[in-house]
Amino acid sequence: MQKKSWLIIALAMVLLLSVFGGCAKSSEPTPGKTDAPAATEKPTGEETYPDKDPNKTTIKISAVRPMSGANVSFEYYNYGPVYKMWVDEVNAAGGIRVKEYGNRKLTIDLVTYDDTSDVGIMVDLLIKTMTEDNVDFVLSPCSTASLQAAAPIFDQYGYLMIGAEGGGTDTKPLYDEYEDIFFTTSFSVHQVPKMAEIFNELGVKKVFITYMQDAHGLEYIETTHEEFPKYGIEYVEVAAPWDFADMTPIITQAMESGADAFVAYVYPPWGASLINTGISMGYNPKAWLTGPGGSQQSFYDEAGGMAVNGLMFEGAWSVNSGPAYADFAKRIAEYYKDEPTWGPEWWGTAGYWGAMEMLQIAIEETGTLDNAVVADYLHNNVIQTSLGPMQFVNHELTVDSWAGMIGQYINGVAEVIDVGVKRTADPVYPKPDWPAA
Amino acid sequence: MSTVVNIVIYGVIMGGVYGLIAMGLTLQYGVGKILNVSHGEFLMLSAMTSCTLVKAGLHPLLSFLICLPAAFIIGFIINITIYRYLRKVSKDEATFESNAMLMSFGLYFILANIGLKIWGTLSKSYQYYSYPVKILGATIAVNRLIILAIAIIFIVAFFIFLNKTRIGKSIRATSQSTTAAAMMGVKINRTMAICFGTGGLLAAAAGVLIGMALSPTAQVGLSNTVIALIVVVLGGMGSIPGAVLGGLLIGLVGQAVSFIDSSLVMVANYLMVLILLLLRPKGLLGR
Repeated sequence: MQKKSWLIIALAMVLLLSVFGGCAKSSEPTPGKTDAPAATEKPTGEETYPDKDPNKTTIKISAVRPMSGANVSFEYYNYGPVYKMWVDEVNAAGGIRVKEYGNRKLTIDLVTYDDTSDVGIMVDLLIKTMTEDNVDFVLSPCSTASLQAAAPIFDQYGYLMIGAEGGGTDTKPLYDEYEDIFFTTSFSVHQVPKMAEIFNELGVKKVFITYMQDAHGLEYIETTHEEFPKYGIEYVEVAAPWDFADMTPIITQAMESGADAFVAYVYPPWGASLINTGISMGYNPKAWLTGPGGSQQSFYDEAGGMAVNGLMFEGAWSVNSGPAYADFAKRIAEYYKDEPTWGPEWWGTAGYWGAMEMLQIAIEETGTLDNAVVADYLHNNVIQTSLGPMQFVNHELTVDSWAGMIGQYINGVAEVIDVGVKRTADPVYPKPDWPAA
Repeated sequence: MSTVVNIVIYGVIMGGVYGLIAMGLTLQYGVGKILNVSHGEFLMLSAMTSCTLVKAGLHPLLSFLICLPAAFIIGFIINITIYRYLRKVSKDEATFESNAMLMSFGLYFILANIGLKIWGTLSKSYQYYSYPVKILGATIAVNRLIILAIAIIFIVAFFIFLNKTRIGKSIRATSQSTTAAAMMGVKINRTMAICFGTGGLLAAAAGVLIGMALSPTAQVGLSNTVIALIVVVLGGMGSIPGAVLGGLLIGLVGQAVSFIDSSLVMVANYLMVLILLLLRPKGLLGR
């Protein structure tokens, strides 16, 4: 065979590998962590427990996650660090004690798949792992659309689903159809009322809002329609462009509106471009809130850091929410210390961490890996996690389970500014001027 | 009044950038018959690279000196390897055109994912002349005016290159007839590679300009390819002046529609293409 033919075959193989690479199973160790202890440990207590399978040494957990493609940043900044650190910390502590396996501690064997940010691939991989990998639990995929597609699959194959990134009013109809699904992200109906409360306290009279005309933006704007009038807050709303575009028309309209506050229910690239354009056009309202994405420390840093001090975001938790939160922030930062572009996320990660602990506690308390029994425990108990008591009511974490709903970067620190006891710092209002260019 | 001034000034600014992107695409198609779906990825890589370099301390204008030659070289190499081979094995021009477009889809996936691997999905931005001036009552960002000035310089320079230089004449000859150009001594393969590289360079120039003011991400490539395609169809496939005219039209209409509803901009763009294809299928300045 000629050299050129071989080259073509090699090129084709490389292309095929790149296409199917997303389907490859990966159980590589996560960064910066020690290996899990190999042996399983049995307590020396008096009570004896029957062992369903003495040969079982691990709890096998799989996750189908966006390790490439458009949603890769969620895996990198949001749930990814949480579940990886949880697995490593659990394993470093010897594992999770399971009564039905002789009350032995079983370490976690994590299997991950890359869904390439494609819901179709996610569904295929989810079915594959549930039918072929003999896994005990399956972690949730990423994004509201994925959770909507995944819920019936988890239900069909008898797995409980604890969601991470995603969820909202669009996923509420799933609650009536599927019993063992749990959502851990706060969203519009939790956050917008708190935002309205804060704006009312600060004396904001008029708000300019731009929003994506998708599920996220529409549910936030609909909740705004309900909440802002309660406090007599006037608002002007303008749709954001679908594609990457010049934001000067939106900022021009915001300037002309004379609003006290600027709110952007848009994704991070739009949010960053709006801030950048606002700076360029000298538009400096008294308050500026952006989300989702504003809760990522890296977003704040990239948008200018102290230059955009006072930026508000949907979220929220803070290192000042209590010693446990400070400790969690420290541990997760340490976990990613070798990744210079990583930064903490101040919206969902604390809730996701709490949910991982809830799962662990539910397994230990029920003494089984039976998903239905564990789910039943999750449904019916207030669970004391390291971050405080957390509870699922009607498939969602209760508002009390979260450390806050609205945050603000104050001198570089993400603070909770909800009205009430969860506030970690008084809001800065009006926010500082943009720095001179 | 200030709204109209805003629409006109920002429309012309964005039109200049769109024209720059579309000129590259129409050059690659007009001469090489390559409908390059990965064109916007050259813009993306350039925008993200320039932002990264500027954040590391490089002056924004100096980033042109790195991004543009790099884009030209990458485009040149892609052409003399992949597309030259494709042309050789294609039985006729039509087969080559379809194969080349499919290949460019592959390139798009590869380049887009390289961008995502390097930069993730977060925006990159920096502040450069980030303050406003008042023009006829409208608030205009100075960095946008700089973008317009640089875009005009590139467009004029490109026209001079095409019309006054020997290589430019070779390009024009090749675009009219490959066979006749070859008979006149034009080195066709080299000319096509230069065209593809120059197309990449023009996209890269637009990328650096976008990086100056628009907070790009590693995902901006495809949307700019789509805009470039719309502009090229509007202006006329293969027409360089048509690309500039189409760019201006898209820029102005986009700004005007944004003041009504930003989410309708693409609808307006496609509507224009639809109407034009019905009335004048060759585009505004198509041959």
